[in-house]
Amino acid sequence: MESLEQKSIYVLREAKVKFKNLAVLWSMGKDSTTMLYLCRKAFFGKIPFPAIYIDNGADFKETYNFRDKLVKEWQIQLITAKAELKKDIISGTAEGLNKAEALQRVLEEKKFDGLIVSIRRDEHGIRAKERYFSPRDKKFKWDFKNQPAEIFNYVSDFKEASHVRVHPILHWSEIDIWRYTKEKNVPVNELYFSKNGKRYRSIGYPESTVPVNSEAKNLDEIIKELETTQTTERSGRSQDKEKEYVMQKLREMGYM
Amino acid sequence: MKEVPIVFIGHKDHGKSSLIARLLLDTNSVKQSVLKDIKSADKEEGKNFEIAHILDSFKEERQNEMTIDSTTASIRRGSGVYQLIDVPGHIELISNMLTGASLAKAAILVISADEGIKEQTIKHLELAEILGIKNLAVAINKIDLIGYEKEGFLKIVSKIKPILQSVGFNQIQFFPVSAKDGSNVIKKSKSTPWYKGKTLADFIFNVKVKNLKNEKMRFLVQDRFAGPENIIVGRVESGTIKKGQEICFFPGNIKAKIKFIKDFEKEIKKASAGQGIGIVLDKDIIIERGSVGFEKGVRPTTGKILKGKIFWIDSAKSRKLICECGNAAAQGTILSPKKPIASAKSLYKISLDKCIVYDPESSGSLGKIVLKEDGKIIAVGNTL
Repeated sequence: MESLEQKSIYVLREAKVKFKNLAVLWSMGKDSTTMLYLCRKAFFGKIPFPAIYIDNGADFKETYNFRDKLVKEWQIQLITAKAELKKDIISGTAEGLNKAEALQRVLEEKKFDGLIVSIRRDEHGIRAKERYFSPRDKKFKWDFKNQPAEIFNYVSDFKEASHVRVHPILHWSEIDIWRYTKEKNVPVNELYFSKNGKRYRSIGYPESTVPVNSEAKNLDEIIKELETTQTTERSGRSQDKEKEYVMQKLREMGYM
Repeated sequence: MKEVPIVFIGHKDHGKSSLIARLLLDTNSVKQSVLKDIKSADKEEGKNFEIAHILDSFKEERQNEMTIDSTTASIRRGSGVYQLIDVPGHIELISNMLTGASLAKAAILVISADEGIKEQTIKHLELAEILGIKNLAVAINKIDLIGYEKEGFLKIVSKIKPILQSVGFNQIQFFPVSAKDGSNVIKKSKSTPWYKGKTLADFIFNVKVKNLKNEKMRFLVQDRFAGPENIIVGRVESGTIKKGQEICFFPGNIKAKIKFIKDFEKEIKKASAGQGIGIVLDKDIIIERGSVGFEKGVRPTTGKILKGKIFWIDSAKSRKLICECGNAAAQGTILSPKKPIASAKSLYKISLDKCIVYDPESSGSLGKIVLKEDGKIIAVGNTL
C-alpha cells in the first residue's frame, strides 16, 4: 500500500514543479476522492490548486451532498464546469463528449497547463496504455501513436501541448483504492454501499449508470466482493459497453 | 505488499505479449467479462481472437498483430504483486520500449524457437544492461513450432549464451516454453520430457527485489514549500533519514541538522528508501531542487564531467543538450561520441555547465541520466 501511495505522491509533487497552473479533476467518486486525499498528503494538508467538477446538473443527490460536505471539510477550491445534458442520449458516448467539451472550455478559460486525472490501468485496456504524464495537443487530442518517452522518472517537456494530463494513480487497481480508503478512512460517497441488494461500483450520472447486484454494505464487504468478482468495474456504465474501441475514440477526443 | 516489476523483451513477433497473456490466463488474473469483450470485438472486426489482444488493446495493434505501446498487467500472488510489462519489439518503437523497460527490476528475454536470435533480441539485451537490470532469464518460446525438440532448444541456448556473457549477464536460466499451449509457463509440459528444470512462473515468482533501505542514505530534493517554516520536499532514494541527524547537501556542501521530518499532518522520527517526505532544517537556508542530501562522510560523487554507456533513441542535432540526473538538470556539451547514431549504443562523455550529483553505484535514478534536445528525451545512459 505504501509504495503505491509514495509513487503517487512523487508524481503529484513533480506535477507541482512542472506546471504553472495545475488543477485536479474531481467527480466525487472513489478514485478522485482518494486522489484529493493524496493531494492533501503530498502538500501537507491543504491542496494548493483548484478541483474541477464537471456538472451536468443531473448527478445523484447523494453525490451533490457528498461534494458539499467535503468542500467544507477539506477546504477545496472548487471550480464547476457546466456541461449540457442532451436529452437524446441513448448511449453514454454523448455524455462523455459533453463532459470533454465542458472540460476543454474551463481549461482554456482558466489557462490550466496541467490536469490531474484519476484513471487507472486496470480499468480499461486503453487506459493501461497511458503514461503518468500525457500531453494533449492544441485540439485537446491524445496522440496515442506518438507518446513521448517516460524513462525512469524522467519525462519530456511538452512544448507543443495545450495541456498535460497527469495520472498519479495509474498503477493502482480497484481493490487497492478500497483497501486504501479503509486504511486511511477516506470519505466515501454512500452510493457505493448496497441498498436493497444493489450498489454502484462506478458512478456516472443516473441515466447512464446502473447499480450492480451486491450485498456489500461496508468497506470490508466491498473488498471481499472484489476479491472474487469476474465482472469489470465499469460494467454498469453504458458508454464502454457499446464497443471495445469506444474508449479509445473518446480518449483520443479528450475524454477522461 | 512487495511489487516486482518484470519486463518482457525481445524481437517483434517472438511472443512477448502472448507469453504475458498466458501467464495472466493460467493464474486466473483476467476477468471473464474482459475476455468476453475482447472476443466479441475481435469477432466484429472479422479477426480471430489471439491471447495477445489482452495486452494489445488498441484497435491498430490488433489489426496489425503488433504491440505499439507499452502496458502493464499484474498477477497478485501471496504478498507480491508481479507487474508484467509488455513492450513493442519493433525498432521504430524503441522509445516506447524504454518507457516500459525502465520500470523493471528483472527481465525475461523472449526468443522464438523457430526464428532464433534476431536484431532486436540483442538490442533489447544491451538496453536492459544500460537500464541497470541485473536479473534476467531467457524464455525460448514457440517450442511447439519446432516439435518440442531438445536439439533446437539447445542450439539457441548455445548461441545466445556467449552474447549474454558479452553484455554482462552470467548464470542465466533458460526455459523452453509455448505461450500458445502453456508448456512450461505455469505447468511442466508432458511434451518436453527431456526438460528437467523449473517453469517460467517459478522464476518470476522468485524474483527478489533489492531493498534500498540498507544502502547509503540519499535524499533527492524535489521542491521547497515556503511557509512559517521552509519545508524541503523530496524522496529518500536509499538508506534511512532520521530526525536530529546531521545532513549535508551537494552541490554547495551545505551542512545542517534535521529539526523535524514531516509526513502529512504529523511528524515522524525517521523515513526510509521510497518515502516522500518534507524536512525542516535548524538553519534557514535555501536548498534547491536537484540537490542531494547525504550523511556526513558518506558522500556521493559530484562533478561537471559525466561518462558511461548510453543508448541514443534519436541522433542529436546539436552538441548542446540538457542532461538530467536525479532531479537535477544542467546544460551539457557532448565531448564524445563525435557522431551519435540513432537506435545504437555508445560510450559517452559530456561536460556540464554546473556540478551535479551522480552515483554510479546507485540502482536508483542517481545512477541514470537522460539527455534532452528541444525538450524531448533522445538518449538514456548510466554513469561510470
